[in-house]
Amino acid sequence: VHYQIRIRGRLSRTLLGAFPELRAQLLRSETLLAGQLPDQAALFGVLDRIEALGLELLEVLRTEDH
Amino acid sequence: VSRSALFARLSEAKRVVQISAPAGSGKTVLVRSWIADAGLAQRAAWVPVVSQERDPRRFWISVADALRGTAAGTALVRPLTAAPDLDGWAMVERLLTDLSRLEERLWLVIDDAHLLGSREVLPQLELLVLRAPPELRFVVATRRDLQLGLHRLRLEGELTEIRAADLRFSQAEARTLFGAAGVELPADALGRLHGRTEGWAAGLRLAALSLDGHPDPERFAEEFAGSERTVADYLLAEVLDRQSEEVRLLLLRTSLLERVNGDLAGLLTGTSGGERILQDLERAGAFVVSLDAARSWFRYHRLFADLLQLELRRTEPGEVTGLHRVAAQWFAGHGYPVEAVRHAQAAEEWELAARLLSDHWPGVLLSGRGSILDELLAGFPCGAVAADAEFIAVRVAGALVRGSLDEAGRNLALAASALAPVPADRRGRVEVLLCVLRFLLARRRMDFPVVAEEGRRLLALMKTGDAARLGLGEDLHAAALISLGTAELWALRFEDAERHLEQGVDLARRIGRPYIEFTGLTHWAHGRMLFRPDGLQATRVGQAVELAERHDWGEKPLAGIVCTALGGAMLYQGRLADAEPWLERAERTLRTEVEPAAGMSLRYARAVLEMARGRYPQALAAFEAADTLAAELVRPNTRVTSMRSRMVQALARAGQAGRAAAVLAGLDEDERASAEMRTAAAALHLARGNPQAAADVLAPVLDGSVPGVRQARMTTALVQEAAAREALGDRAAAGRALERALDIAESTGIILPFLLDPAPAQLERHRRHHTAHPALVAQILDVLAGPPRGFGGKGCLPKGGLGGWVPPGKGAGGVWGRSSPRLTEPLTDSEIRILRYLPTRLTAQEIASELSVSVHTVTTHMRHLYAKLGVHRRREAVEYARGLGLLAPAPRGA
Repeated sequence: VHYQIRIRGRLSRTLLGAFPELRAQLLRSETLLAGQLPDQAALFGVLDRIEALGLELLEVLRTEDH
Repeated sequence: VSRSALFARLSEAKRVVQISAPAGSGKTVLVRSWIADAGLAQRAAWVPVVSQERDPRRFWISVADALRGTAAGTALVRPLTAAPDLDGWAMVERLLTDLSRLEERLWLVIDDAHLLGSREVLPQLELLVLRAPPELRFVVATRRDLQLGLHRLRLEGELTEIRAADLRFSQAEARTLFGAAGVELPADALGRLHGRTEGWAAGLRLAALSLDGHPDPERFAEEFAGSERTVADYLLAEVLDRQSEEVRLLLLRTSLLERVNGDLAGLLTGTSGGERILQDLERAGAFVVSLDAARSWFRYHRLFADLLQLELRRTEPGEVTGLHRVAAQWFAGHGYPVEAVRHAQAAEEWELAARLLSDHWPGVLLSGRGSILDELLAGFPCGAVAADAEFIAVRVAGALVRGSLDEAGRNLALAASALAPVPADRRGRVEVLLCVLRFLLARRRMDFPVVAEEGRRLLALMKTGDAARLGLGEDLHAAALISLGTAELWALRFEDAERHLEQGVDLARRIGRPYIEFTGLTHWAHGRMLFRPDGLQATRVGQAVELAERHDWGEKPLAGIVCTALGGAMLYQGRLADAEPWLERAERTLRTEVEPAAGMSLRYARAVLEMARGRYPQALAAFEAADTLAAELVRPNTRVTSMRSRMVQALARAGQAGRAAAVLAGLDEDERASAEMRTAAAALHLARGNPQAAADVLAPVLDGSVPGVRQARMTTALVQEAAAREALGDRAAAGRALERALDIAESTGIILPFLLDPAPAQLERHRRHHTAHPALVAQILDVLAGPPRGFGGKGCLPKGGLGGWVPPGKGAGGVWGRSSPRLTEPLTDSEIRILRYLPTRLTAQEIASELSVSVHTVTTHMRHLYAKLGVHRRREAVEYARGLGLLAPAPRGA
């Protein structure tokens, strides 16, 4: 399943190291993480990491396969 | 920073405070500083939830420990000792009991409650919150809202919530925070920093660290405000940039550890000042908190640990594995095998991890932390480790702890063929371990041949090498001796069994391992109940009970086995009312899926109890449960045969002759020829009004041509014979059979068979005319006359103590019942004979004539009896003797 996750702020390379399974796109004041995740459990794993790192989650989208 | 508004909310809160906010919001610091500010250090129990906490029991043990650390809790809360299979629910109930007398206010702080990963622990916590006394207050800090039934508390106005917005620092508070860190900022720079961090505690703390001694704080604030990077990320980079290389390295490299001390830090960084750096960092309020009063162990604030680890992985990706490896070796060398295995796994050093686990699992298991084994085993990817016998042994142990007996059996079969790769110097140890594991599995399934075989093998192994040469260590040596002795007990080699059990239990006691000692005493007592019920069993039960009481193991599954043994012994003696609470306790605690053999014994005992009371539907339900568990056991099996024969007897008495006949028809020839099944068939014949057939089928039991008949079974056969002869009109033969039965009962104290085949009229007549055992008959009639009695509801504790089962001067109070009265001087046989008559209405003169002695002799014995019991009246003597278990309990709810 393809997901797109929007996080507030531009993530550094260090922080991006926490999401190796996703592609990152740095926007002006946001970061867009996107990619295929096998299932909901994997998605919650990613959301857990976002929480643990004190990041602010803006949006999660399930999108059609790209 | 003193945050007085929040402190006031905490102090004025009702029963529960939930602090629910994201990482780095300053939850922990807030509660800690509030406790210090309000002077509550002696009234606050602090429980940090450690990551990966999946075991509710470990969590509740830490709760009990923390509560005991408070002024009020020290006196109220009993300590908990870790042991296998401790049940979290039972622990909560116990905490509630202990805290019910709480009179002064106490705060229980649960930090990082979102890490409580188990499905059970949150409902358990909810139970504690809802039923705790009003003086117990809860502060729960969590990153996510928890499902704690809080809506109800909220409706009742009992809940105070502190959320992210409440935790944000105001600009004034931010100024104080910077001031405390020695940073003075112009108002607009402060405003920028505050705005950019949105008052987020972690951001402000990092900013303060970056600014400490910064040449140009205003420029710093401006650049930070203008950046679009995330706050923690930006600031952490700034902080790290400003540290010395030594500190930077330490921060990055030790962030991998769940906890760190100076020694470890030095090892990971290759420098010596680790402890000083850690203490400085703690003083600066950044990154780490100390875990002990001596400030030698520290742990990272979680958010920072996570961030630092990411930075480490980016800057030194090649080092991570090596750091874990070094940590694994340090933990292994300092007696922390579990952490050592975790780091070895993180280093993907599978061989090392497997080696460590193979070396240390018995110690982990024997200290009562068996549930961790499973968790550690799950950390090995498939095929990562060569499956040698040593590692397979760990898997077997994990499966046994879990109660997956089939899996344990499959792995044991593999282990035997995997001995070859084990080096010679370790061969002996692993052979002993496998032997013990095979024995444990066989014992749980009541596999008599394998139990006997492993007993012999274990004996041979222990003979060839002394424990030290086998590399067993003393704890494992004690456990092996206990296994050996238990196996011998099951193989009916009583002398060897007693010797080895004694050695094992003594060794366990000498090296201060009470749980191993408890295990030994338990299986000693249970084995005696199964194979040789007598007084020595009582001694072991008494010792096991005493140990369990001292360590509060009353709610453990192993205690369930002790209770089964104790209740079973009381049943044999016809003490039905005494037996019931013990069986109830066993039913609550025993995990039958882990211990099907003991479970079968327990269900069987319950069935017999109900049968003795004439409650056949209940008896049959219990028999059915026993039969279901019997399917888990290895067959043929004499205990299962025994159980089934009583089941047939109960069916026959309950008027279900058809079903009884069907069970008998399903037996093979050998089973049908056993004394057990002959008595079963006799019961069916008697129920169908065919006494001659009953007498015929019993004859080979009575004339000795069936070998190895146990005494209880022989008594049953004689009682049935008496009934059959009576029905056939041969009263003399009936009387002879009954007298033989009474002879056995008098010498063994086993009167249960008379209760299972009740014949009060016949016994009454026998007492008047023929018997050498009038007192015994009176006692049996007394029990038979008792209607089924109700008890103080489910879960009531055994009342009246343990009777004569507790060793002198021991066993006061606690979960095992109140302390029992003791005799200062034992009763003589003559006095006991007289005592048995006291509950009857016979006068001293009549007792004298029953016993063919002079009335003077009777009154002298009575006087001595009263003196020894410390009473003045006959009724008091009876009551007191019942309390001591010297007499059967009162028949009519005295």
